[in-house]
Amino acid sequence: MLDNNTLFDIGFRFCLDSMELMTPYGEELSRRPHYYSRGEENELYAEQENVQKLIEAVHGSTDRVNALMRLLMPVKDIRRSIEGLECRTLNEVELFEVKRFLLQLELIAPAAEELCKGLSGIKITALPGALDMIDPDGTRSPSFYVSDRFHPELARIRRERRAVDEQIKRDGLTDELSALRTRLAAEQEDAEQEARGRLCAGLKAYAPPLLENAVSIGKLDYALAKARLAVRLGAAMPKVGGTRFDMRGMTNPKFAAALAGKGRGFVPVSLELDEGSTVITGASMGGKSIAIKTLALNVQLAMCGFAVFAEAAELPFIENIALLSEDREDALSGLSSFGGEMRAFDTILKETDGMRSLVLLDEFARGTNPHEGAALVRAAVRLFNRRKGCYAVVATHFDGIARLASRHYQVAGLRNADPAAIRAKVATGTGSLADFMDYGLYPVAPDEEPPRDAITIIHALGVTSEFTDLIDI
Amino acid sequence: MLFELMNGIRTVSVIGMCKNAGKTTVLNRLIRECEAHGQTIGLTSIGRDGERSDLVTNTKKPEIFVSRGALIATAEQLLKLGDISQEILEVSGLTTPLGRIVFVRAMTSGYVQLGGASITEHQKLIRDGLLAFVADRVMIDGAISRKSLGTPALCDGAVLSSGASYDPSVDKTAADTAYTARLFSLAEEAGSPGELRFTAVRGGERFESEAALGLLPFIKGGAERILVRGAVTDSIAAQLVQVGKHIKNARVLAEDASRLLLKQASFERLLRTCAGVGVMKGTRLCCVTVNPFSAYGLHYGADEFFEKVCRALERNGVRVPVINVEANDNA
Repeated sequence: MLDNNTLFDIGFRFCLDSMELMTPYGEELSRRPHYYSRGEENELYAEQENVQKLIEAVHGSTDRVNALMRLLMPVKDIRRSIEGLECRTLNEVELFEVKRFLLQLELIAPAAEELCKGLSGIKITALPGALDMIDPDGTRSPSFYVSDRFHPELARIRRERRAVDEQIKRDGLTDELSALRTRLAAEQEDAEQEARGRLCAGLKAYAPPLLENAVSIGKLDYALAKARLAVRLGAAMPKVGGTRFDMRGMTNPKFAAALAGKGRGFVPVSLELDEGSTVITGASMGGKSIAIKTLALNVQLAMCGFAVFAEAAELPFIENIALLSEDREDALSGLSSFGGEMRAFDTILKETDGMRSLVLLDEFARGTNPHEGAALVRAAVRLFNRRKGCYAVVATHFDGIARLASRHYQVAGLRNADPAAIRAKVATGTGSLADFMDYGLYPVAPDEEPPRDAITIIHALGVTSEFTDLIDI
Repeated sequence: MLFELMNGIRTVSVIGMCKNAGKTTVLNRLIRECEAHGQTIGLTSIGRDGERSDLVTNTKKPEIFVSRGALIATAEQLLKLGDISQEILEVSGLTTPLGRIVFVRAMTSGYVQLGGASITEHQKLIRDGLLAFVADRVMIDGAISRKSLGTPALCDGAVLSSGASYDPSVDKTAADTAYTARLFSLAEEAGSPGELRFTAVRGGERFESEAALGLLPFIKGGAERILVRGAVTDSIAAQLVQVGKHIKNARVLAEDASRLLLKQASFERLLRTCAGVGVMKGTRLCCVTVNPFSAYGLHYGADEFFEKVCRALERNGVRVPVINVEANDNA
């Protein structure tokens, strides 16, 4: 599974931060999105269906959705109070919260009914019985007060206390009145405590449905936020299941936003993967990492029940996803970067063993000499070819790897650019190398060697000829 | 008597020169008088971080007494320390170390323990909340003066409570009280602070600098006002005195009186340097209350203290009523 740093890195956190949750329940679900893993196929499909229906509702019944969102906004997390009902007497503030929630349910239930029809696992129901109990006078006011009707003595005590108050107002606070006031205050406190005890005993039966409502509100809020994110940023529901990946026109909102800041656009990435290894080659600076991270993001999204940022997407039910990237930090473990990478790789192999998994290697073994490094990458490619249910993508610029893989993609980079034109632009400062980079990912033949962009780049950057003249290839 | 002094003021803060200055007595008296006039009062307190932890553990009886109908904003955990019967009106999202701020209505009379927020923005929300539940007048149990940051931003009026607990010397207490009263009575003058510490204004032109010396290129051509953002300390005053000859015709304006954190000597020196000191957000000092009883045993003579405060106020050119409250809470 991807760790938090990786989830940040690939732009998953960015997507979560772009979501708008209305309630603390939904907020909690979105903080740690559930990854549907082995045995949870049906749950994932149910969530996908919910989100898809809500996407349609966002398009088709915008007013209804907006009205519901307004009702959800004031909902607070009262689970501690509900759980308290099971075992103790709630205080006035907690009872206030329960009453507020019951009043909110009266409004949310009918507003959500139409939308929730056909959503699985989400059921919001008003609890008028509980409301009658907590508001016996039927005022339905949004405040809470221990009503006289909760206790036979309360009305009398309060009447006497008010009489004493009046007397104090008239005659001032004499010692006698003060003592009387204190006694009545204590009596009243006892009676109110008893009244709250009785009320809570009655409400106890409603604790389970209260909790179910809270859970359902959270699920609805979370699924609705997924749907609204999909509509806002343009995402499609992927088809999960089957045996191969067909990811067309994938984008990544995080990188797209960063590029937009520089006035450039994100070039969509399309990838097809079969079981076994797929190799991506291409120039440095050419976007191999971006392609890998974009794939990781969209698979992670798909497996968490989100729509994905792609024109169309089909993928197997991936039980585990792993990404080994060049910018991994091992400073803490005290290993060299190569040692750290190998240990992390070993962990990934053990964790994904026997699972339908997606393993992504970005510039694997680049920290060692090219001869051994290439051998290590070849071994990894062979290993993944052999593993059942494993889909691996290996980005590398070593030669001779791709011919071992079932598929080979290449980032075009500067292949189709005119070096003279680049030199002219870069030298005059009217353009950057990136303007000439073709970040598109193209399927190529297995024996196609990585492009030789290094020399082109050096010339384009105008590196001193004292050095470039000595390059002997 | 206090009630008449509050005329036209919706939010009033009671500020103490020190602990045990008789703040609670003044607050209670204010509450009684407003209630006698049929007003619904709203009550809260500001920043008492130092006291917070012992408020709950210490079983000291709450001392503020309210009648039925009063609105109170206080921290969740302080509710149980009072003995009123209450209607819970709203649980706010503002949290304090003692739980969330809760708005309640007193359904009987009784004692309440006040706790509030210490952030000015939160204090404003609480004040507005009390007004929204239709309090005719909001009273704020303020902190002691030097810590009452933001009080003028929060209130239209203030009561300054002074007492023998401040200092064994009655002359020092009278002098310091009068100086504080003087700062809180500075006139409000138009102006809004700039981004940097100092802003010099001349006609429609503004010039900002982080240091007073940095204003020189501009104020050599004269200045009408010098606006200071943030605290005006002794060193800020010293910086201004340094550029003295260029600001002798300028008025120096602080954001509000609670930002004036300088010693009287520095203040006087600054006054002699420039054309005057004012504030951008003023507050009305309704009265000064004096309490001759000290929590530490060194009581003043009631008449002597009263007289000395009156004379010190006069010397400072502050014209506000002085009221003797004789709050012997700790006797």
